[in-house]
Amino acid sequence: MKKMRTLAATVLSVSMCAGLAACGGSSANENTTAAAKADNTTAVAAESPAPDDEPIVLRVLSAQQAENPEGDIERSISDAYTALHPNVTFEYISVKSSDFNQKLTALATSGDMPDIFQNSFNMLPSSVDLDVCEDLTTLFEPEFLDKFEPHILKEGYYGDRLLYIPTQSMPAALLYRADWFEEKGLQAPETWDDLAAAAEKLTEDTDGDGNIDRYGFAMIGTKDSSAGTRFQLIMRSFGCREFYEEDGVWKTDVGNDDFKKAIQTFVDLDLVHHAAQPGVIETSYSEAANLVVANKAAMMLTGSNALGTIYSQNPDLKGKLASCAVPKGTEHVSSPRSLGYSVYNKGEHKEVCKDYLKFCMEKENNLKWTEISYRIPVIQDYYDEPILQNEDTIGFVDAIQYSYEYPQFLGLTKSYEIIGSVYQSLLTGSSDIDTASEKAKAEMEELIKSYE
Amino acid sequence: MTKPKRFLSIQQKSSLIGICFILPALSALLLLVLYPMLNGFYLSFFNTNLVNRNTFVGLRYYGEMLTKPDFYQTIFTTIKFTLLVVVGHFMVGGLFAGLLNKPFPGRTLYRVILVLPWVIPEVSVGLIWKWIFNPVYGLVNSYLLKFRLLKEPKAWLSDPKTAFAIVVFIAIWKGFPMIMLMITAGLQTLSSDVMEAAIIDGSSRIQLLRYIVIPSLKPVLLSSLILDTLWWFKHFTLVYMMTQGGPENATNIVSIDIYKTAFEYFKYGQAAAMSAIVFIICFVISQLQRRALSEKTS
Repeated sequence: MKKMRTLAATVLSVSMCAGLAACGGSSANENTTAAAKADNTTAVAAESPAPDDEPIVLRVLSAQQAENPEGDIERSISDAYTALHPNVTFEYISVKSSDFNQKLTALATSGDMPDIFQNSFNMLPSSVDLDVCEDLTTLFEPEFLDKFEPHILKEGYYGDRLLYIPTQSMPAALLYRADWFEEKGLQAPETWDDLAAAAEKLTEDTDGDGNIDRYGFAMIGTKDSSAGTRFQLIMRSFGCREFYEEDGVWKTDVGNDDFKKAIQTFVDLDLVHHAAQPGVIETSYSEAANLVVANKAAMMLTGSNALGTIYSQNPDLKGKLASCAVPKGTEHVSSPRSLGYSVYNKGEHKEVCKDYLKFCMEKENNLKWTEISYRIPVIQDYYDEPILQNEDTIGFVDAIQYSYEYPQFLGLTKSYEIIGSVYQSLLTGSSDIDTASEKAKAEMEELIKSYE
Repeated sequence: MTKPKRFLSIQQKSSLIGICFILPALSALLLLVLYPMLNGFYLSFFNTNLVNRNTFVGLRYYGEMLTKPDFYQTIFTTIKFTLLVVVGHFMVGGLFAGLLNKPFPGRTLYRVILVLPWVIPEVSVGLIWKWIFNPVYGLVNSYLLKFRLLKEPKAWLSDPKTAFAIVVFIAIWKGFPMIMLMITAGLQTLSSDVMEAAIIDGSSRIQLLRYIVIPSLKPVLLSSLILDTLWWFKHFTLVYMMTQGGPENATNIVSIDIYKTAFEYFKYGQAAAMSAIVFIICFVISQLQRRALSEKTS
C-alpha cells in the first residue's frame, strides 16, 4: 500500500511537471477559404505559373488571421486571387502573434511547414535560426524589388539574402493630439526637451475636480517587446545602440553616457515633469492606446497601425490626431517595423507563392492595409495617395527616411527585459542610474556571449 | 492418446488479457507523460532550437542556473507565492466548507456563487483584476478617490510590495473553491454517529475539529494539499497576465522564467533544464508533505 502511494505520488508529480517541459501549444485554428466570388475590379495578376487544372492549396501561417480587421483584409486578398485562379485555394493557419514563434517552431519540428508564413522585422532572427526561409532574391526579379521603399525592403534582408517580402509597414513616430497642441499654442516637438515641456503643459485637471485627468505623454514602461521596441527608439535618438555588429562580433552601447542620457530623459517625464499617467511600469501598448482613445493622453510613441486601433474605438478622433518624427536626442530615428511573408525553402509551390505575393503588392491590394488599419504601403509609387498625405499619417511616412538598421540578433527580446529593468528600477526608486546601468551593461555582455 | 499441449496455460491467458486491458492506458501514459518528460530531460543537455541546432552542452545549463543568484531569487519568490496561496486556499476554503456544511436556506445558491472564481478561465480572471486595479480606470482607485481614502491614483501593480500581495490575493480568490469543494465532500462523508458520540462525551468544538474532523479528512486534505501545492508552484497564467513577473521581478515566479527562456529567448535547452529542476523540487515537496502528514497520523 505504501509503495502504491509512493508510486501514485510520483506519477502525480511527473504529470504535473511534464506540462512545464512540454512545448507550448497555440490556439491555432485552421480554416480553408471558400472559393471567392469573382471581383471584376481586381487588377489582373501575372500569368499563373500553375496549370489551371491542377488544384493547389497554399497553406499560410498568419497571425493576422487572429486579428480584426486584419484577418478579413488578408482573406479578401487571397479570395481575390482565388477568383482569378480558381485552382488555387488558401488554407490559413491562424495563430496569435504572441504564440507565433512557438507555432512556427512546432511546425518546423514536425515537418509540417506551410508554403507561406508571416514574418517581420523582429521575428526574422528566429526564422533564420530555424533555416526555413527561401532566399527571395532568387525568386523575384530585381525590377520587381526595385519598386519597394528601400528602407522597408532592407528589413527583409538577412545579410545578402532576402528572407521575407514586406507587404506592409508600421513606421515608428510620435502621435499627438493636434487639437490640444493648437489650443495650447504648441508646435510638434522637435527634441525631447520640447516634448517634456509640451507634455507638462498638457497634463492637467480638465474637469476641475482636483484630480489630474489628462496626461501629456502615454508612457509605456513594461519590460517586454511592446515597451522595449519603443524605448529602443529613445536610445537610438541619443545615438545609443542596444546591439551592433562589428567585424562579425556583436557589441552593445548599453551602459555608456548616451544610454544614461536616454534613460534619464525617459524617466524624468514621470519623475520630474509628472507628465505621464500613473502606473507607467504596468502600461503596455494596449493600455497606452486606450488612454489616447479615452482622451486621457496627448502623445504616444507608436507605429502607424495605432491610428487604426484608435479610430476603430473612437472615430471622433479623426481629424484631431497628427504625427511627427520621433524627437531628437541627437538625431531623429525610426524603424519601418515591416510585416510580410516568407516562402518555405522546401515548399512545393514556390512559383505560385511568388505569383501570389506579387498579387499582394498590386496597388488595390497593398492599399487595403492602409485604408482600414493604417499600415503604410511598401511600394514607393503608392505614397502619393491622399490618405498618406493627411496630418495623421504623413509623419509616419516621413519618418521612414530616419530608419536605422534593426539589429538581427536572436537575443534581442531578452535585451528588452534587461533594459526594462533599468528604467523600472529608476521609476520605483530602487536603484540609481549608475548602478542600474552597470548591471545592465554586464547582463548585455553576458547575453551576447550566451548566443555566440 | 495424449491431449495436445496448450499453447498458453489458463493463467498465462488470463495475464495476457489483463495486459491487453491496461495496454491502451499504459501506452497513453508512456506517450503523453513519460516521453515528454524524458525528452525534456534529454533536451536539457543540448543547445537546441528543436529543428537544426543540437549541440551537446552536458550539464552546462544546470551549472549556470545553480550558480546564478537570480535563479535562487526566482525559486524563493515561487516558494513564497505557493506557500501563501496554499495556506490562503485552505483557510478560506476550509472556512466556507464549514459554513456550507450546515443546512441553511439558499445553501445551493451560495455554493454555486462560491465556485464561480474557479470556473472562470484564468486569462479572464487576470484581465478583469488587472482592470480593477488599473490606476487610471480601475474600480479600486475610483472608489478610494471618491471616498477620499486616496489623494491621488495609486499604481497598485507598479509597486513591488503591493503587486506581490495583489497577485497572491487573486490566486487565493481563484483557487479556494477547489479546496472548499474537496473539504465539503470530505465533511459529508463524516459519520454523524461518531460526532454525536463525541458531543455526548463532552467534546468541545475545538476538540471535535482536532480529534475527529481533521483526522477523518486527512486523506482528502493530503491529496488536496499535494495537488494544490504542485499546481500553484508551477502556475503561470494569472501572474503572467497581471504583471508578467514585474515590477522588478517582484512576482517573477519560475514558470514565467521558463516560458520566457523557451519561447521568447529561444533557449529550449536551458528552459528544459529549469523544468527539470522544478520537477525535482515538486517531487521533493510532495514527498515531504506526504511523509509529514503520514507521520502525524501514525
